[in-house]
Amino acid sequence: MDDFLHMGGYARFVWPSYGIAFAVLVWNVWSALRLHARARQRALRRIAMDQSQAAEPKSNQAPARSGEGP
Amino acid sequence: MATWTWFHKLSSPPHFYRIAGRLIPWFAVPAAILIVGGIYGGLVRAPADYQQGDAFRIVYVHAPAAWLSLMCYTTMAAAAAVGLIWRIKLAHALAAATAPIGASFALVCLATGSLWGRPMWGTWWEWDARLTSQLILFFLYLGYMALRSAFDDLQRADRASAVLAIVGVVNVPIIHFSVYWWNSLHQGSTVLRKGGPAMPPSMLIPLLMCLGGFTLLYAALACIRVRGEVLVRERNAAWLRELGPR
Amino acid sequence: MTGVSTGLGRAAWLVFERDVRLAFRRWEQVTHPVVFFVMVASLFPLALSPEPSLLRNIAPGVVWVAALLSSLLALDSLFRADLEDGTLEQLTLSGQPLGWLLLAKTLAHWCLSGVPLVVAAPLVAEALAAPGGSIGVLMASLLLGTGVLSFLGAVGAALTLGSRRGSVLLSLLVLPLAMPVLIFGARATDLAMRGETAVGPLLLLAAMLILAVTLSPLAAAAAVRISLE
Repeated sequence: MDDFLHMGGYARFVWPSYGIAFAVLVWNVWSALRLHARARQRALRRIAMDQSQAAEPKSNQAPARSGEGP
Repeated sequence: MATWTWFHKLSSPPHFYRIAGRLIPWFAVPAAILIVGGIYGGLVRAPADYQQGDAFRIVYVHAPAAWLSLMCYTTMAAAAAVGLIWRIKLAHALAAATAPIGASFALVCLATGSLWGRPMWGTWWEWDARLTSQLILFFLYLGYMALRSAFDDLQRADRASAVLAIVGVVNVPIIHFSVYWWNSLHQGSTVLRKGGPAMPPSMLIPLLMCLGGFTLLYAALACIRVRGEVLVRERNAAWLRELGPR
Repeated sequence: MTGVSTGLGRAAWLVFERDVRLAFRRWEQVTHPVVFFVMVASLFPLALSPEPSLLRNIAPGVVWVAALLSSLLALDSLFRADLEDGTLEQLTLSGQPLGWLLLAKTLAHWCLSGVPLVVAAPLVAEALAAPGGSIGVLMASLLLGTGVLSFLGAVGAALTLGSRRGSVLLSLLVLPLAMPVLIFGARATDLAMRGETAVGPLLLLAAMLILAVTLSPLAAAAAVRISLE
């Protein structure tokens, strides 16, 4: 095990390399999931806003979009 | 004809959103298996290189990162071109999604290349052809992302950065050639590759596993990101109402 | 600006000639890049050492880097004035193929900003102790290279039209693309300095110039349209 960690003397190059690669990998997954989650939240919020606007009776409101319900 | 209608359907955002969502585990799980297996094989099972000792094991993250950074740039440019020429929003979404992935792996390639080079060359950086070429690629990514962020209007950002990506991808072979030519005039920099006779299977197979695993990982990440980009671009579309809990 | 029946060649010539004529009214457009070029080149002896033996070695690179940076700065004058007074929009609406008109504009820009650099280069090279025999190749490489830079820069300038972060962003976009030009141009001069033939890199520069002249107007036209919409 010690030999393995030692990496023939090159440990301080090999392990940081793998560390950086792993960190970037994790960042990629986190960043992608976050992008999707935030876009989702905004989209859902927008839909909710549109729905509540359509539910309010307004004379200058465009005719209700199809599929709309209170 | 059937394949064309399938492709056409795929370019419709709601359809793509659903399909991509279902595909993610099919990419992510094999990716994880291949990467873990490949790294295990590279770190533990592969024998040490007779010239570079255990330092060569860095190749198992360096090479996939280099491959990914190049593949992502090409994908980004191709998607941008499709988006620009046929005005398919989904293609622009793919280009936007791919850029940060490719750029981050270009950075990994540079960092691991530098760490690999230190015990070999004695310096933290050498202007060797591959690293310099990778550095310029990284600059191209930065320029692309900088241009994107300079626009407030998403559609204009998509189209302007598409022009840049196309110009960039035409230049990549020229840059590659010029850097290798430039470097060949200065003898002495060793290329970052495992020296000696061809790689034995115990070394090669983990490398192939890592390459494949990282590619599948890109596919999974792209699916997640493009779904997010689609949601941003389709803000007022009716199909969003059927989004549901997933 | 141009009548419906104006031929393409005439329209292109009108654009070219207008840009050149306007530059004569605004001399700074021509002189400032040259002054910048000379200044940047002078930085290196100041920063490093005035030893002729050192300067001679770095002369090709220094001249080329200074020329590259000066070209980047000069790109500002390509579209800015026309954007501000609405001429650029007129060009897109003129009914003539925008690519050709932009080709004419970029050619004018090359004549106004690139050629003066070529003229100023021997002075700078002398100051950097470059041997006389290499000056010809230096000028040739600069002539070709500034052409490529003008055409590459035109695409970048079109993409960053009216952007607030203007010239820094433009530099970020154009510099990576310009690196091959730098490599071949500096290398050609270096070979000439060592008495070897520089035909190879010069031909490569010429090839890049041809590629740039044919493709860049298309990209620039697309970029202008995107920026103006």
